[in-house]
Amino acid sequence: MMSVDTRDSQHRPTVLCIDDEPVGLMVRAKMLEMSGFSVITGADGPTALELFQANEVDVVLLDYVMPRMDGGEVARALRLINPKKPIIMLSAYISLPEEVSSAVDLCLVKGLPPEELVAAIRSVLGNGRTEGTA
Amino acid sequence: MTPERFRKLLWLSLAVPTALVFVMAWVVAFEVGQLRQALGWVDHSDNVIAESRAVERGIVDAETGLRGFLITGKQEFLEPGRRTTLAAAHFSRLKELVSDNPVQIQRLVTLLAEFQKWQSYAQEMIDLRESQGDYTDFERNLEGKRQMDEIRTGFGSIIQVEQALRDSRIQRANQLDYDFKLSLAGLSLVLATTLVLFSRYQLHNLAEQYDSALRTAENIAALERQRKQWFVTLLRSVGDAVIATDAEGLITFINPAAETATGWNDEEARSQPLAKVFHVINADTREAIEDPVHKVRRMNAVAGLANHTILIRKDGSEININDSAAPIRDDNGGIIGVILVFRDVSRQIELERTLRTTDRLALAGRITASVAHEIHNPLDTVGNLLYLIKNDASHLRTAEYAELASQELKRVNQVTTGMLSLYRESQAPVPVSLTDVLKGVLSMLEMQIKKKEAQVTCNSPQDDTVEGFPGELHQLFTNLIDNALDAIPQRGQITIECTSYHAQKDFCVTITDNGYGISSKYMDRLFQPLFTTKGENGTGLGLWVSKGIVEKHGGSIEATSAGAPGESGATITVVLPRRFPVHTILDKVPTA
Repeated sequence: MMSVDTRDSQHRPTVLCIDDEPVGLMVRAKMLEMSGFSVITGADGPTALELFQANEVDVVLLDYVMPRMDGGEVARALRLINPKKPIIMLSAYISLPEEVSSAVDLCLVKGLPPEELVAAIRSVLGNGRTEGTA
Repeated sequence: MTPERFRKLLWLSLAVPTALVFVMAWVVAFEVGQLRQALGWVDHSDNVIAESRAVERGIVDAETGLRGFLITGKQEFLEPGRRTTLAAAHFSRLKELVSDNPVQIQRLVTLLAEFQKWQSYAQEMIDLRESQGDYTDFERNLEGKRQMDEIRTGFGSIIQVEQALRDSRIQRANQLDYDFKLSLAGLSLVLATTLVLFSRYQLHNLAEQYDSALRTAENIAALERQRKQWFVTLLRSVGDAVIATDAEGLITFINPAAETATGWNDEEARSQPLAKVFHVINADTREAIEDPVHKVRRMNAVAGLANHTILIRKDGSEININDSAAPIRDDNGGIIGVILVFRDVSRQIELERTLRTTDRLALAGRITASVAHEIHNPLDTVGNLLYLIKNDASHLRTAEYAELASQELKRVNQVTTGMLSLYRESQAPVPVSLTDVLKGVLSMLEMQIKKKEAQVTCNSPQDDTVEGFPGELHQLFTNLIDNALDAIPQRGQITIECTSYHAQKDFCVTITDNGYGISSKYMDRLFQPLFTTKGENGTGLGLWVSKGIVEKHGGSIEATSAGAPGESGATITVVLPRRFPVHTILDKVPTA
């Protein structure tokens, strides 16, 4: 944890965090910032697409159930913009449709310990970097 | 041969011989008349001859008497002469007899005149003898003799003529007799021949007709046998169980399907009273059901027997059946038997039960997912808050985070108690608030509502309590609102109206959407099981199960749609009575 905190802000990976639950989103953003990420938040799919294009985003953390566009649709739209950016689906549902899980790098269920979520983000970031440098 | 033709044939067979015999009798009668007439003429001639001889004899007697008187002078000799008056009477009779023959009449008139002349001569001679005159004068006597000879000759010729007439008449009679016999023989021959030929023709005709009638009857009998065989094979082959009885309800036919269903074979069941073999009770009350034969006779019409019927088989095992009974009528419409058709629906009932369970399991799955969603969200937030509290070295915001965490936990509690209580099972109907049910349903469907950005409005009265099974009502409205959500476009509208009417006895819930509506061609099948327009995304159970639930609660459900393309959506109307109908409690105990 200490090593994370002492990192230069220029090296903090940026997480785009999308959820329609304002309290849950706010708390999750604080937790991620505390864990060494720079966080951008949005409440729905269209906002997510705007923010994704306007900012340098390293990883996307998506909720599934949202008005207008569900997480799967948002993920497919993001892939069209940039197919290489890692996307994590963070859903309250235990099982998601196949076409949704195949559209993202990782599916996680809400309620897992924050440390595990952070580790998962770092792991997809590592993969992404490797792919990016390859 | 038709009965009319046969009657005609019979009539001809009698009429023709009778007519022939009549003709023959007429001919015989005519000829007998002719013969009798001819013989009558012979008799007539005999009479004329006899009468002529009698008159001649009288005249001769008178002459003899005159001679005797002239010789003896005795008056006694004149006695015959006095009888000449009698001779005159004979003359007139003879004249009548020969009145048909003018020649003979002429002769008689001449003879009478000569006789009268002789009578004058005889009187003259008598007078001479009495007055002692010359009565022996030769010339005078010769004159008398000559007169007498002429009279005799006259009579002789009359008799001779009559004799000739008689001879010719006898000959004619003989001829007639001969003709008569000949014609009789001829006629008899003709009659016999005609009768023989006619009878032969008629018999031949009759035999042909009989043969043809016999052949027709044989053909009809063969056809009847074929038809009977056809029907028996048909009835034996059908999958439905068929039992037929006579008017008294004794079994006359039982097909293999019925043998299997009842456990009685043909041999055992035949001639048994129907109630013994077809032992049925009401599935709900387990009370005996009216004997189908009696029911059909009482109603005098086809009778669908009571629903939920259980047939108790010969070995005591039970099967659920659907059945109907129909009367068999004679030409006059009288009932001569009853035919009973039924089928084992145990498997169907089992299948329907499975389908209902499937729908309930699907709902249970959705509720689980929904509950998981509602729990995982706050759980996630609480986990993150604990992480923040743990890792915040300054502890400045610990109290704030703890308060947030406690609020999230409250939310979890609300979700579980609220949502799961709606799905609780009960063995008896309990008071249920429709508003609570609808709220629970909408909260469970939140994800779909959010995704569609649907505008859902729900209006219900303050007192919205009905008696029912909360889990099933939840299932009912989930299915209906779920359908509406599927039908509406993005940002579509769903309006749920709950109103009480019928003097507060019933509730009416209408769910109206502005979706694509229901095609009129699907209307008939809408509430049938396994019917879906959603392809692989639908089970085809929702509306069928919903209907079952509504009916169990004593209510009704119907669907209406504007029908025209572009017109807004469909409306499902559910009517639920406030009080749960007692008689259906036993009907279907919750199955899942």
